[in-house]
Amino acid sequence: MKGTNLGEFQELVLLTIGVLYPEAYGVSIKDEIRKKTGRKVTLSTVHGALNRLEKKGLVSSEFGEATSIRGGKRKRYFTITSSGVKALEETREQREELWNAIPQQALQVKLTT
Amino acid sequence: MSIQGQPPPRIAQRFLRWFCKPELLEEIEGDIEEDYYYRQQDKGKNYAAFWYCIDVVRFLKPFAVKSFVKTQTFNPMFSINSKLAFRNLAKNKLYSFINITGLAIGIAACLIITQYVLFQLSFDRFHSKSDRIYRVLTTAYQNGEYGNTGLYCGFALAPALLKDVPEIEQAARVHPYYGGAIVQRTGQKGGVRPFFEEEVLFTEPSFFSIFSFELLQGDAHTALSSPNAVVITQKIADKYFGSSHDAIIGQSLRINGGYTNEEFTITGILKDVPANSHLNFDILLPLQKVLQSNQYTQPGADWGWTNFFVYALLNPQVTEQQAEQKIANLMHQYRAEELESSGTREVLSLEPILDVHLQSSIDNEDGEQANKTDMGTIYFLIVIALFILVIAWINFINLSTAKATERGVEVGIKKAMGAIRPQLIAQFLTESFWINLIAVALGLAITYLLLPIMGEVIDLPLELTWNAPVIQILLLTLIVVGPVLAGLYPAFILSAYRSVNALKSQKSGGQKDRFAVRKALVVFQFVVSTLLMAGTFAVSKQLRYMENRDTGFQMDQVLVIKGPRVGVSLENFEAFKNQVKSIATVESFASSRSIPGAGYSFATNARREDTEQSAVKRIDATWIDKGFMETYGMELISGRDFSDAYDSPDEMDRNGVLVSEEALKVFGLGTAEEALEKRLIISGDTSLIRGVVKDHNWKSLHKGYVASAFYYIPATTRYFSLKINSQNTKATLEQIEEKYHEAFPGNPLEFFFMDDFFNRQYEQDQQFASIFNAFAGFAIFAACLGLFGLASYTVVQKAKEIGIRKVLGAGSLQITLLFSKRYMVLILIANLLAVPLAYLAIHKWLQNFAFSIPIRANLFIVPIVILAAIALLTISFQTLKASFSNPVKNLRSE
Repeated sequence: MKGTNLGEFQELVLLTIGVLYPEAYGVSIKDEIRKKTGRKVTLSTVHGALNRLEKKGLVSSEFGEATSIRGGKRKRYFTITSSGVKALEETREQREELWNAIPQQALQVKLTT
Repeated sequence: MSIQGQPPPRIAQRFLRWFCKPELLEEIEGDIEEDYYYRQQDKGKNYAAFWYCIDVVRFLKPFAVKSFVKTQTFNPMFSINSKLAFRNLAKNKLYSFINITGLAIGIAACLIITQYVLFQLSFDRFHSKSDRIYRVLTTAYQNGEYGNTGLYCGFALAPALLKDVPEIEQAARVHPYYGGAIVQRTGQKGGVRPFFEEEVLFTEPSFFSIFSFELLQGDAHTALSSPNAVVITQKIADKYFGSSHDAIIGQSLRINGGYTNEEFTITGILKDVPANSHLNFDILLPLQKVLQSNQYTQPGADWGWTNFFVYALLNPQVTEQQAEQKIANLMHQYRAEELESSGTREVLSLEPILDVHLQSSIDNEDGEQANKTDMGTIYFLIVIALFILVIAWINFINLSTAKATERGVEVGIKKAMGAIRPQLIAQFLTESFWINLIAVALGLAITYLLLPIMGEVIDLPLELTWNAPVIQILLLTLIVVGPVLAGLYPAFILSAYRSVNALKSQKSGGQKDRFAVRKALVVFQFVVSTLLMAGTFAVSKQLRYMENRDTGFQMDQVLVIKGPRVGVSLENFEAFKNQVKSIATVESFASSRSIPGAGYSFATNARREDTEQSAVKRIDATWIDKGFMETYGMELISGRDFSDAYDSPDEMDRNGVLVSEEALKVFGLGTAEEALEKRLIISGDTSLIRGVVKDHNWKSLHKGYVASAFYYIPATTRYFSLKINSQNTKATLEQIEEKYHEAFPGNPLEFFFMDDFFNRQYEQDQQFASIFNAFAGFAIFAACLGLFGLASYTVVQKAKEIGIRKVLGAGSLQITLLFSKRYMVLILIANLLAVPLAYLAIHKWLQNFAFSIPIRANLFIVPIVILAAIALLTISFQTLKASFSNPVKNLRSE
């Protein structure tokens, strides 16, 4: 296994699940990501990512209530597992380490030429 | 919340339920539907329904699609099937060999043809702007009648185009260095060898922004902007400066010829021009140089000297039609008077450069240096490739079904043990898959080895390219579709065996029908083989005919020297002429502006003196000297040739012209005798006809006789022709070379033999013939392999019958005949079907030639007999073996 390394989109989904807790399911995650990032994500990409995350054990899910607007189908709510939290933290630490390792000058790039 | 609006589209919903993993279905369907209802509220029913469908389709991803293969049974089945397939292959080694080789050869042939076709189609596509580059063509109409379409024009055209037609973004004029040039490296101590270069072009800087010829060193914008700059290709750099190209920029080359006689400084090195470029050159010189020459600074030269051609780059948003409309009448804007007075109309048009190689509409063949293969040949080759592939698959089908009886027992037992038909079909398809896969691998190997060899034969750089999508798709088709296509019929046949019948006896119901299908397939194979064989035969006969036909010249033992370019004077010409003539083995000497096979010097309008201006017709002409007719053994029908002095007070009359027989017809000059003393106005000048020359083939036999005229020239250095009368050409050549260097120091000696040169015009035809031969060979070989396999199986099946016949007293010959007969009948039927088709095809092909062989019966009989003989040999190899076998062996094993 590639371990707990997160893809960029998977990280986004995972974070969104956290944000929406405890109301995170397919449609709400998709809408939230669209709202926050302006990306045109589709349901199927979100489901794909959720599927991967669940296989990696980073999220767990359970069925919730059925609503008439869903044609009587139940929602499936996702929550972050402890290894999911760990993965998020690791990712964040890696990022921060990298950020700290960048020399000051490198960030002072002039944008005009 | 309550249900609002319409339910989602049924079809999409059912589709989702069908393909989606059951464990994911509820949440996915729920989510999509939730979105659907929101959308319905916001944007209406149709919008929501549309996006519902899109969302469903988007879930066609691996994670969501359920497995349609029952994994539990499939995997072991596949592996056991593969194992069975390999066991079967190993068990019948001959059968497997024939089957796989046949397929592999078919696949290889198909791949090779594909590569060739791809190469032909790739011409000029390497230019990044290739879809916007056009060649400007001029179509001339004489008094409303179509004259010809050509690409040559005056140098004023390109500036006019740029000025008047904003649709044209850039234009580049090109002027070939007619006659070639002698190139020598300068600034070196000691003698540096000069070379003769033919692929030299004058052009302007915009050339580099239109085309994507890559400059390795130097700057594309400035490389051609100074009048004494020269850009060379890597090939030329290697030739003059060796392999290290570091310090070449700034060095100079002396270029001597009809247009220049000075040093040029190298300003750029180009990557060699790719083989798939219609434009071929080694050296580029600045156009302004040639425009400074006397020829182009005379008044009227701007439109009058049509020695240039123009490439135009259109603006990206402009269509060809828009630009063409604008340019069509441009000529009349600038040259109205001149054109109207001669009753000519000239229409400009654009030709995409992607069409130049295969579909050019130019019809004056003299100017075009690119080799042309036309689109018809390409289509033809694609058809052949498909035929060969089909033949190979048919072999496979035939051989597989022929084995049916043997496999029948296996099928019977399997069925008795409870196997169902789909399982059996899967088994046979797996077998087909493996055979095809091995054949594809082998076919690739053959292609890999053979392609470079083929490339050498037809003189094209062919190699296996993997990255072409067409090749990838083709390979995928061969691997995936091939086995199914070829394997399905046998799989159904084999799996259809009724177990009881199969186990009970070797013969089962339906045998007859199957044999009928097999017969039909064999017939088809031999129809194709006969077609190709007859085609090959006709092509090679026509080629031989063209090479041996009397052209009206005696071309063997005529040596042609390309005349000197540097330091030429009448004195050293005369000196050389006399020196050469004094060699005992040189029979005669002639100098001329052109030679047979090299085209005429020019084509122009002419008419009989007493006719109207509007009666002009085309005439081709060149200049020859006194010795020409003798050297080439041309026959004079009437009048005098140039060696025979003609007394007349008028100088023009004293020289006059010689015309061809065809010209008598074209200009209505009556008989050869009547034509004498009449006058033709050629290109405005009146010339007296002093003699009539028998019709001859100045050009290839593709073209018919043309009206032509020969002018007198006392001496020219373009071509020297020498009639040699000796078996020891080498010694004579050495003598000639010595005299040549003595008379024309500093000129490289370039010579060739006239017959070789003339027959070089048939290179395209020869290329076509060699490709054709190769694939006819492929097809026949594949068909015979199939026949061989079939025969061998029949013989095995009928072993008992043969045994009994032998016991009852039949001789070997009788048995061989008996078994060969059924196949010979098939081949006969195939021939009957093939002959009319072959007749049509050959007839069509021969129409490419003005002089062609007559279509006689032996054109078909010979190939049919050869093919039948090959087939008979193939079959009798098996049947003879059977008939010689000991009958006891075959009868004992009951």
